[in-house]
Amino acid sequence: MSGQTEHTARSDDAAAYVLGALDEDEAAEFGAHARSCPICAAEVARFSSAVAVLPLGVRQLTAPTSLRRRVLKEAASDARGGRRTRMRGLRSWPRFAQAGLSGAVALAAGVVIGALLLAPGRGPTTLIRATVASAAAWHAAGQPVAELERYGDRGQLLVSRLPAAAAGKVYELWIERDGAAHATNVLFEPTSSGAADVDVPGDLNGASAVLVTAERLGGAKVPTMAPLIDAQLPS
Amino acid sequence: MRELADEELMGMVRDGEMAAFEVIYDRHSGVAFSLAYRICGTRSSAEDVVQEAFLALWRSGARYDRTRGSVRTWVLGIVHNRAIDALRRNVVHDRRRASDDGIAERLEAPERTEAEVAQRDEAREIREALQALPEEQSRVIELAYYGGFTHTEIAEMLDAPVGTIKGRMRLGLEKLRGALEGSGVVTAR
Repeated sequence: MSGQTEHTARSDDAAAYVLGALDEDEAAEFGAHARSCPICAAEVARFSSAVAVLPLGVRQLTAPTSLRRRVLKEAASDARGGRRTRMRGLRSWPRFAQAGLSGAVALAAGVVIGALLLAPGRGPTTLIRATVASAAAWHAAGQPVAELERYGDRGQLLVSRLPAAAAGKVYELWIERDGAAHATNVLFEPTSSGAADVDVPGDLNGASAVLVTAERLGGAKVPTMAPLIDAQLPS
Repeated sequence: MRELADEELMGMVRDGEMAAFEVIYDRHSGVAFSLAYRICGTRSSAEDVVQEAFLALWRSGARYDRTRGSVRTWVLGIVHNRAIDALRRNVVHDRRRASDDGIAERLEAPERTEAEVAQRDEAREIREALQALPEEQSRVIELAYYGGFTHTEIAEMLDAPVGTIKGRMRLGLEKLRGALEGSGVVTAR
């Protein structure tokens, strides 16, 4: 095979290589070749610049707040030669999605479990573990875990292991003030994995709790049942 | 800290500076999650991939070599590899495009800052450049890059010779690069 012909063929390999589309053996063989062949190395570099922007072409989403918390917590607690960072001394707790609630017993309400993170541009974040109704109150098996992440006067309810609401029902978020539950008009369903990150609309100053009930589709004006999730806000 | 360039921050990450790692995470977690979600198709798998990728960065920051590309490219390379690994392990194949209905809408990134608006514009230009390719070329690129399929698998799927598939990849990438060079997204070499 002449040099020119070989590099016509190799140019195709270079494109497949940077796309990760060569079989393992082929990729190893081509990678070794490109390291000693300036023509193929240049081809790889040329195609790589196009492939490098492909991730930016996908629909841009926001990474969930709960993921940020989990990653930073894991990093902070990671053993790296005994080095201590400014987060190292903070109390750690199990990964949110794995945090277990034993049995069907509801947790004590309103436990502030940590001033954890400095989220960008919004000050310190406080995590409040919510009371979750006992198993009998839920439509399906499973014991949800819920926390309210509060930062300043804003909040986000983070729920895992949340079963889908019963047919014809949807979860509704309420803010309790002066002993009464006020509608937020926020209706939600969990993901297929049982996760729900729900932004609490409006100002939490003066509120005493964030609540969740299951209501008919379209929501209700007042709760029709006792709260399934109850995050009590410290006064 | 937030004014520092990624490359300076990576030096601090190597020294175990948690605050620098936070800034790196905040800068790149959105696009990392978007890519992982595009490949894995479910939120839980995408979260796992992003978590693994950033923890790998934290634990092996010393491996970052600025002469081989930007921090963003490096991070996204880790995310891409891990997401494709997850696909090939069939961990997420069965759940792809299954039942995360509405999640993409709920997590759609807001445009709050000039940088975010610019990033959204850049994403739009890249999508348009991909869509402008002949369908057979954009298809093989998407199947390879986002789907994690090898050229032989793609050849079987499309009932086309392997050489044809690789040729389409090359032509597609050349056109894509040319189009993005024209719009300034990719720097000319």
